[in-house]
Amino acid sequence: MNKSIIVFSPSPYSMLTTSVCELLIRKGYTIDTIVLRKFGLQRFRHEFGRDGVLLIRKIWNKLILKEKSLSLDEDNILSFRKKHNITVGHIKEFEAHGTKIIRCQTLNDKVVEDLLRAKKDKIVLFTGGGIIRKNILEVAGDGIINFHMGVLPRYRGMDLPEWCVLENNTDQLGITLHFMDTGIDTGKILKIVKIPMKNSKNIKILRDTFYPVMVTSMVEVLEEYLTGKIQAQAQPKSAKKQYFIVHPKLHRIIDVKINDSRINEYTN
Amino acid sequence: MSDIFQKLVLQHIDQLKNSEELPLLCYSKIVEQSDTATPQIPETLKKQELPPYKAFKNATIGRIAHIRAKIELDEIDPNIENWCEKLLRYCEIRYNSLKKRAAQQKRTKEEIVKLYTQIISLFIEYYYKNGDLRYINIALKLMDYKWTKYPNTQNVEYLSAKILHERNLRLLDKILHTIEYE
Repeated sequence: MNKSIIVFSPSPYSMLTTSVCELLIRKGYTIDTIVLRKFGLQRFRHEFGRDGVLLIRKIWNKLILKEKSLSLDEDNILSFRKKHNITVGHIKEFEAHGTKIIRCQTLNDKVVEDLLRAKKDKIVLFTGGGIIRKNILEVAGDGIINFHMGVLPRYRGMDLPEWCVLENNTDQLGITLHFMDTGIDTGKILKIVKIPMKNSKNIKILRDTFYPVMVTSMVEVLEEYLTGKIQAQAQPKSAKKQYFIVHPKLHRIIDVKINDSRINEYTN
Repeated sequence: MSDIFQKLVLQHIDQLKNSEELPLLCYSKIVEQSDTATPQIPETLKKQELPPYKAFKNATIGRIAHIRAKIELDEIDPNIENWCEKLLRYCEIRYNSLKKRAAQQKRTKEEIVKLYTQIISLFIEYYYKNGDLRYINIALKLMDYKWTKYPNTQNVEYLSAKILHERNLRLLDKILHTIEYE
């Protein structure tokens, strides 16, 4: 049974989106549509309201510096792409493989809803682009697979690698592939992948090590799900705790803790 | 005893003893060799009924003070836990619009300062009971806002907010130091 694969993307240059799509195409899958969330004044206002000045740094790194913000000597999405010879840098390049590109203000727009309604048998991969509302979740067929930067159900919310370090729970660093639902990271779990702390110098470098795992896991999980090798498991309802963006004063402490653990590892 | 907080406490100890805003909770955590008595929690606060959390507009200075009293007395029940979690979620999710929302709820400037000083104090005190760093995270964020700080005035109405603010600054410093070296 061939399902249409639809990918939600936060930016035309998203290294996550382009890496996932290129690896899927290499495996013989066809990406039916990429739904791209446009970056305009409305999105800027919304995200600035949520992230504040952090958004400026995000835009600087992701839209202006792009791969220049990363080092090829470290374990990150850039070195991963080089290792796997992933060359697509803009989602427009997938049009050559028969993929349609749809641009929208938000991923909850009517145009996205209509697209999903029109496709009978489909699965959606979420590689970023904001909160998904009920109107989209209801017409998403098998569902929308998300990669979450924490081990569920323990770590829900934002800045989860930071919280694991702060709470001295570095054995809980990892990602969860799950179906989205109307709650915050409460959907059915497909797979959990733990990520070791390795030798990261600071939290940014530690976070960067997550992205290659997110790409490979997304591709693996999709394959395993489509071939029936894995099934989604519901989360316990008791998991209530949600984490939020970490304050800069705690960020400084996180980097100190990461450095201390490196020193400890080295001296032991 | 040389900083603003301790000077304020010594100057106003009699007024503070009768305050219902519990400005001196956790006092022993700040001043190890305290020669000033910690005020008792007023009976009126202990006996209040706390309804289940419905909306932030129902969070009054009195209710927050009541929750703080219950936390101090180690009488934390599921209702108190729910209030703390809901207040944390409200402040985090609405962080960038808190001031605007407070104005929409028709709270006066004095009320806003006092309420948020109480909420920050509650978060810090709750952290001491359960070690949940999310409460310190939001307390730090709220302290960053200038509008949660008492205005530069001699107005006695702001006395408890002034003392609590100074106390909270000291407690947060101590907590951050502890987390860093634990």
